[in-house]
Amino acid sequence: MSAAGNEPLRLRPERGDLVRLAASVDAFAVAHGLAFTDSHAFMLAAEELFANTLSHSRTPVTLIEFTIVADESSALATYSDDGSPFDPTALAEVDTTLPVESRTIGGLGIHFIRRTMSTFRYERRDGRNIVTFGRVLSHINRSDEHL
Amino acid sequence: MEVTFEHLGELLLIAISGRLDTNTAPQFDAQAARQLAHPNPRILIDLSAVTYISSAGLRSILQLVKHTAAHGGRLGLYGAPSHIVEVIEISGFPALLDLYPDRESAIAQRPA
Repeated sequence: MSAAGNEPLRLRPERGDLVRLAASVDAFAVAHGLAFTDSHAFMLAAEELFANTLSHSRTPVTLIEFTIVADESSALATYSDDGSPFDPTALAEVDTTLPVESRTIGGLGIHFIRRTMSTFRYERRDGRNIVTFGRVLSHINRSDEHL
Repeated sequence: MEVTFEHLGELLLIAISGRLDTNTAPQFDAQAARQLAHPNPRILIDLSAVTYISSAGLRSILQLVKHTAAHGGRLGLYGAPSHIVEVIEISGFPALLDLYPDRESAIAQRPA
């Protein structure tokens, strides 16, 4: 696998850094010729994890790190933060069939990841939440449509 | 993200462009809240210029869905690019709202 860079992207837990995260995914997608559907899926997954960090950590987060690598058939991303323990893979499935009066948006971001990624793993190591997600690439490059 | 509001008879037409995500959804919500001060049983949203939507953006749309439902109406979306439609479908939202290919069909069609 080859990475966009040797060092992980380091982010602060601030909304403004979502722009840097999105730019990183987009640059990786362009550099590796990812199809739009793949880059969009990784963009969505990365944002949802970042949003969870901002919203749900019970302790202050000081550092978020993100890396993404790819080989000819698949791409794999790693997202980590030093917030309170939070395993997104353990969240209950959302019920997307509820009527409008009962619908909430909670958990929908993780639902997106489950639906678009073939790999979705969590581990707690060295005081960090580490989430790994990835998918087999579609190999249909439509580079003029990047986000 | 840019948003414009247009009243067409009883319809409230909302056109969004750019990204509707964790960063921009609060701006959209603030602007939409002023429009929701009055009952709008039918709202149509133009998504043709939306490049990206996350669950934060869907939360904004869900608020509008609930507003129309509370007033006996229904919300419609039109012009959404295929990758936006995919996100909407994964969310299960098609059961809660109407999807139209373009503005003309959205305005012409009575809500389901």
